[in-house]
Amino acid sequence: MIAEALETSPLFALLPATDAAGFARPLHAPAQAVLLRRGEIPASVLLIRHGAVDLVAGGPMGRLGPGEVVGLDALFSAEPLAFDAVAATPFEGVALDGQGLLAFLDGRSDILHAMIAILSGQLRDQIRQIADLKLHSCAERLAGFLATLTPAQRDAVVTLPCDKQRLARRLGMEPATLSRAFARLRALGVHAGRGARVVIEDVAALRRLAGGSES
Amino acid sequence: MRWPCPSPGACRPEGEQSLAALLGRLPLFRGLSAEAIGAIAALSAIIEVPRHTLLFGEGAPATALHVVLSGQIKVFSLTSDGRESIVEVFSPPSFFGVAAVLGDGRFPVHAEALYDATVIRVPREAMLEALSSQPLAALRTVGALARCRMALAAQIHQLETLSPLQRVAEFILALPGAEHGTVTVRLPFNKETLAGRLGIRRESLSRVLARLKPLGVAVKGYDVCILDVAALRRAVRPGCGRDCAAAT
Repeated sequence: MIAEALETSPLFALLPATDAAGFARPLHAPAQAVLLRRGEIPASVLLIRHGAVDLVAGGPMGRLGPGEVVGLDALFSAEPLAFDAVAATPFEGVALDGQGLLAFLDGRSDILHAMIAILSGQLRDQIRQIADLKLHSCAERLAGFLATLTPAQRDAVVTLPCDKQRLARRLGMEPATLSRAFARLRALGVHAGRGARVVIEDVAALRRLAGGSES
Repeated sequence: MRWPCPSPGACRPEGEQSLAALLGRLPLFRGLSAEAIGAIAALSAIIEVPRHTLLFGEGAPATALHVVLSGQIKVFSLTSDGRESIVEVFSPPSFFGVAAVLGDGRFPVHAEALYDATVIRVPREAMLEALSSQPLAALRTVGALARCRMALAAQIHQLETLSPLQRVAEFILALPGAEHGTVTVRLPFNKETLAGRLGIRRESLSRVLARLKPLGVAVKGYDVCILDVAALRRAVRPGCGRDCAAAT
């Protein structure tokens, strides 16, 4: 189970499973369990296999999902955690003993340099995602997505490739926000029912909106 | 991203030795030998960046990471039609550009001084030398990048899940001094930048601030008066009841 879990994380996939077995163990915790505490340098780094972990500092700061790692920043920076890590759902993952991990990486600059390359790429992707989320409203993102489903310029009937909950996640918004975005597009002649079928009266108008020329 | 410094004014170094002391306080270089930090400082320089001056452009070679000593640096991207998307605003004490310097070598965004700023420029060669000669530097760099990743993940989560009103309220609640009771806190930048940083349009920000008034939030210029911090928290955080307010 540990080897499979490590493979889900680009960072920890760099650790040879046979070595990691010496300092990694499976971890299960119920929802609401405080997994790591704010203000402490964590004894373990956690890899999320199933479930979600909330980062809480006064208020909610963010939520991490499968494949994400919690506590690495504090352990490697020797700085206390800036948040509590709380299981938002039942947690299933791997706990890597901090001292064991540090001891293993001592002298393994090849792995550390590979980690730097991976994190740098991930940060670049996050920056692009943030820029895109801020530039385009939810309705613009939905319009852009719908426009990709048809080569037509005027009217078209398209079929959503997934249910609306998944579509919301794919477009980076809550399901309720997706419903509001569909409602807003109704004024542009977009009609969506309960199913996957969407009628578009003017695809070119959708493309203009997706390009940000309307607000 | 944050590092300890008594005040922006106290961060101004007077010579190379104080530059080394400043760099030594960065989480990125913490614990490195004095000799190693001195070598980094010897290659680094302090530069003044007047307001509205471009520090670097998107796609430019990432030749240095930057440490903000005073002022503010806005990091943003532009669309082809000139619309601006502010990714982050860096204030003292913070640093940025590590991922670009050690990644593909190109800045993915523009950086411009929002106000007159003083910045330490740590060249790529100094970083690479530290990484090759100091194993601890590689460990600290992974830690710093992981911390940036958490901060950006948190920002993405907020953009994806919080309404504009919640984003503005959470930003205000995270300002220094917004702890409990009736307080007046200060916005770190003007409302146009605030709107850009939170991913909402300027006119939407005005509407959101008007909707926050009944929740006890009054904004005048840069000053934000919160009538009851705990009540505001309860109002904007679903499921945040009395226990939540007490815990914070």
